[in-house]
Amino acid sequence: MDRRSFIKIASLTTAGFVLPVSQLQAKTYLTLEQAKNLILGDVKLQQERTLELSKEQMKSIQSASKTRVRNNTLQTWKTEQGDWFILDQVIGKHENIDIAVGLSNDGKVKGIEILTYRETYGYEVAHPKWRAQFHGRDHRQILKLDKQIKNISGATLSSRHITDGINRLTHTWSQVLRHL
Amino acid sequence: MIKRLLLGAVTATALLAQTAQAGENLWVYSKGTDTRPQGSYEFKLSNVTRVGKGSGDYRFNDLRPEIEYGVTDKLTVSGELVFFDHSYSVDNPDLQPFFDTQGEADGRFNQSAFAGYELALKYNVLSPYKDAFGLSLGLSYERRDKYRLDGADINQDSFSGTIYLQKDFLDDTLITVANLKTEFERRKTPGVLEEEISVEFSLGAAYRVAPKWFVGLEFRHQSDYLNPQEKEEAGNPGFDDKGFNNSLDRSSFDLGDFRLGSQHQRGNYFGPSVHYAEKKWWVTAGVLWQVSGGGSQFSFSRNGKNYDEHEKMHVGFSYGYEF
Repeated sequence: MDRRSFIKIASLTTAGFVLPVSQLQAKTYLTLEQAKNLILGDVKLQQERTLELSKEQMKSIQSASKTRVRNNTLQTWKTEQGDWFILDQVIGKHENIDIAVGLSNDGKVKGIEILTYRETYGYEVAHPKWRAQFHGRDHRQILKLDKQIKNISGATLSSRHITDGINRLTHTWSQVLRHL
Repeated sequence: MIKRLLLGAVTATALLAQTAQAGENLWVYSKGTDTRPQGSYEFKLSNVTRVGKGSGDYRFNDLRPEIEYGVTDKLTVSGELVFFDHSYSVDNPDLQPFFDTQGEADGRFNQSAFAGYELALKYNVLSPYKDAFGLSLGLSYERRDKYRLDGADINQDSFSGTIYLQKDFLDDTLITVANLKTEFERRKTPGVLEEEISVEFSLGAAYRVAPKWFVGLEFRHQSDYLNPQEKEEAGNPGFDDKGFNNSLDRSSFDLGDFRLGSQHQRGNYFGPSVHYAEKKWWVTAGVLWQVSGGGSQFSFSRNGKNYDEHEKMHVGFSYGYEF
């Protein structure tokens, strides 16, 4: 093969892979309303509260949950029964994973739903059996992969960040939400 | 007509295969400890352009299409083809083997050729996402019919072992890796047998500056240890009766005769990289400059840089997508 043909084929191959960027949509599993119904049932939510954490609260949650608190705002809804419905994001390999979490009025996890998952692999974290491991857990125990929470092999990063996210939210309840 | 059909087929395959992550490259040389999820495939296309020998002009493209497959979540196997594209004309007669291969003074060497293949496996021992750090081990075999440096015909087999380490910080948004690769090469050209042990050590750090985007820095050290056996020189002044240079120690990895020879060449590189990932595909580009280099008295080293084994600059590009 002469140089020109070689370079032409190599360039065309590269261009073929790179240029026609396909429009890949994030996988959306549930709307917020559907997630609320699945986690808390047909209850009425009070008005949305955008919780703004102070620096001291962030530090305190971080210290207690042993998880970094990246954002100082949190979208929350309270029910008449005192339960909480929280919309949150945790880190995925490339982009964030949107999750909805329900906490009972005594701070226990009532349910987790994956709202949007944008990665190629690791969507097994949406499996009900895996998510059920969190039910009934609260801030009194820091959850860890391979201990209280079974790791999903091949989806370790997502499993780890969702587990960290739950630790952070149960401690957010303990430090802030329970007093509201 | 055949060329047109070939071009069409290659392009069509590339266009159709638009659907692309584990084991994706964040740097030109360094790699993390990730292995592929079980049953998944990834196609990679990488090219490293090496430029500059400190004499005349030199450009070399090392192009490698590769397929990776996750046998289990912890074991990934891969196969890659190796294509070399050389274009150079050096001025200094001491810059070997380039000067001779190009046809000496004012000569030029231009060649694009299939150069060999590599088969590899990578096994993940510890995960950086749940253990204190990540650890994977790699083994590979490479067959070459063309010499990487000058493009000449050779007969080369090499085996290498790699240790991959990874430590993440800031919720896995800051990724640091260290790779140590030891390669055992047996290279035959007419009248010369080289048993070379080469060591490659690289460090990489990359930070997720925004979703989908990583910006990184990379350091790479590569050195080789050998004493070429030049049979025609056997018995001549400076050589022993087998053709080994008396002032160098030879490397050997024969059973019962393992030894690390004299360091012949070394080069240290440093430079930035950028990585972008979509759900199904990713792309990485980076540049490394030789910041220091040297070697034995027989190497071509000038002003603290080495130019027979090493180059002024490496420009890397890689692309991956998943089936």
